[in-house]
Amino acid sequence: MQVFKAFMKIVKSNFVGVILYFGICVLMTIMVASQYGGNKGTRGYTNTSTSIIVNDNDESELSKAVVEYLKSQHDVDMAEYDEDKVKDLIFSAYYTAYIDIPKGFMERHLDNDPLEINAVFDTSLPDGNYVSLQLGSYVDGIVRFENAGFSLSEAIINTQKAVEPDSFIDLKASSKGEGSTHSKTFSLFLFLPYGIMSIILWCLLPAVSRFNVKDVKDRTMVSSISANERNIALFTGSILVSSVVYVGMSVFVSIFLKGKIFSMKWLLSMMNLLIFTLVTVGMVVLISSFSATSILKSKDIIINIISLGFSFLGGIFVPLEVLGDEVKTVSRFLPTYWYALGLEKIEKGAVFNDILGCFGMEALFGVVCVTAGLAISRVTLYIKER
Amino acid sequence: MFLNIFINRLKINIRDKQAIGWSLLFSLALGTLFYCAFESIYKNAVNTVVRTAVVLNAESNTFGDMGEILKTIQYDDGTKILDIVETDYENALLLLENEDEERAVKGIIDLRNIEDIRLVLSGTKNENGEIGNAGEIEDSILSSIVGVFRQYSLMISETIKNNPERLGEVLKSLERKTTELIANKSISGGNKDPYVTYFYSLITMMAMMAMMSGAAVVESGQADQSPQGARTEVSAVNKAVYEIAGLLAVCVVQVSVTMIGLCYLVFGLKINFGADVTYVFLTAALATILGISLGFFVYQFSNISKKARENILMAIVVGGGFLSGLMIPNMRTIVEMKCPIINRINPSAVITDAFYALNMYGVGERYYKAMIYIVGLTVVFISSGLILSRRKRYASL
Repeated sequence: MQVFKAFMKIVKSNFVGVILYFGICVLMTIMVASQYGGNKGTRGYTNTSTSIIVNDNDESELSKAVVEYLKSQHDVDMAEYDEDKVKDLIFSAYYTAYIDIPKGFMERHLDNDPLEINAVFDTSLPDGNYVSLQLGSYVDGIVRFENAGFSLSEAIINTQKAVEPDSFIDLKASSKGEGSTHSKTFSLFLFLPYGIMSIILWCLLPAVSRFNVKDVKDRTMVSSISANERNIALFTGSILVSSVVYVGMSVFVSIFLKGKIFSMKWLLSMMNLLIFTLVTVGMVVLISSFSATSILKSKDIIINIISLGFSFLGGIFVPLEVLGDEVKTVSRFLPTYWYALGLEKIEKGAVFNDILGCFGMEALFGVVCVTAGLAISRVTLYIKER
Repeated sequence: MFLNIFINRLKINIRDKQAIGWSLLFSLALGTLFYCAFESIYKNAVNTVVRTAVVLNAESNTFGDMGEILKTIQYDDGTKILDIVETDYENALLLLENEDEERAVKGIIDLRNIEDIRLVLSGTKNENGEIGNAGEIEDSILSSIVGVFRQYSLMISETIKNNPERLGEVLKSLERKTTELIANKSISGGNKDPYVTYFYSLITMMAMMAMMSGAAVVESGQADQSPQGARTEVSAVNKAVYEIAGLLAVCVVQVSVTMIGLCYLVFGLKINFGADVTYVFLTAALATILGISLGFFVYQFSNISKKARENILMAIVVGGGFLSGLMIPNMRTIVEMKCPIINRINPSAVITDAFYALNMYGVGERYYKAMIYIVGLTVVFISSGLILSRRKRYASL
């Protein structure tokens, strides 16, 4: 009990770190959750929607029609920004394009030397080009209809009718697994491993390592506490802390998943997360088997390398589909990869048997960590005793 | 005396192989990892050619040779948008379903009935068995292009219906090229790849992590912080001289560590920072000194427990790193839009902004502003630290 109490005391002293990493996870979760306002793309065809800024200086019938059309296609924010601000916003991919409709556009749009709508975007990326193409074809359509003798309002209606995708797109069911959009359950669960890894490593690594410092270990060994009691106390403490972290994270994410809790997707995702949590405890066993003083001194760097490294390489921060094949070859050796893959399979409607392989690979990583950790501890002890 | 302390502190710092090793490992490991993960993302996202099947018949060429017209459509940078495969409808459907990505087409433009031009895309069945397509960018581009041709056909049919006498005039207007009404302008900058932000954040984090070395200077010079500090306090050494020499030694070692890490990124991995590398190195060096000075300043508050001071530094490194874009590249912009004051006071965000300014604007007003902030804050932290370290009471009778 003494060891357990001391263990929990050390964990408690790292509470600020827990709050910090939990806060990061909360922010990420809120950001992800806020992206799911509607229910797009499950039926029929929907054009790609991006975030754009529109500045309408003209406020004429024509410019209003253009703005309305853009609003029907994209997430439009009406604002006026200077050139530098626009550059910052587009570089960071916060917005795809900035559309500036000049004053007097309506009066001069049929001239030989018309006023032009300015579109600022990264011309080497297709998203901005698409917005420009779409806008160009819409305005061009209106001008052509007007040139053909239609009034402006007729031209607007006819152009609208012509570019309405529902009227001319036929969809053929494909088995190729198209579509890059994911459900809210997937997106929310995807970020959790970073939080789980950071918090558990931050809490457990200093606590377990502290008990492995030579002096502390020797003092414990000569006390009335047996080695088994010590190990059981450390194990119980680790499991208790990980369970609290797991439950805390799950409850927090589930708040955003009203109506989807206890669905098959949710249950499998929870199971995936539970296995990952246990794997993280296995990682603690492995890391803490190395020099305790070194770990205690550099725990921030070690935790950052592991949590960031595993998250970037394993498909947590960067989707698996955009990682190169060579990177994926390396990623296969990480539990985060199998976690993300398992989550993707769950997303595609896989049942328990389909994702058993992913669960197994994750668990295998944990088992390897624990085995290696115990072996290293044993070898270190053996060398010291000699 | 100054030189003696400087040399000895330098030796102590150089011999701290664990701290140097882990700092280097941090930059090398995460740098390599970021490189592997992001190297090809932007390159792969750059304007791609959309392989498209076109189904034509004799009626299709009402507005000219449609196959040729489609081939000429291009992105703003001159890249052709479509890679056209002219074929019959049945074969086009097979190509749409083809598993081989090299041979498969993204969509079919069916021009057989010019009054009802169709676009065929692939979709997936949802839980209710309904086919859906959330619109990948290539699909949306195709939809826009087909929309233009549909305008033409609609224009003709509407004219026939409402003003048949104007049909000739309308057909003539279709041949005429309308004046360009959209002026496209690209954002300028050295490297427009947004993923380079991760490398800015990595260097920033490396720099900020040097704060632990700054903290060590205080620990080694203050009587209530370490046995070594007690010995230093009773020796005939001016405290300010001791701390300045100690800080200088730490700066030499930590700046060298940052430079090695940066050299690996710039020359080893060939990361394009989009600016003159001399300024990139200068910014990284000054950022490291800022990190050291921050650690030196925070550790002067010896009335706060060591754990609390450690936590404060950790919050600055990890929290500041997160807010400056270490986990989500556009986080700094999100903060700028929602609460810009955080970006002004978060040292990590200012350092990241200095790298960003170098890349997008070159050496100019914005870069100088960031550098003045970094240097100013460093001076404030060091001078405040030196003032705080004077005449401290550790125990009373």
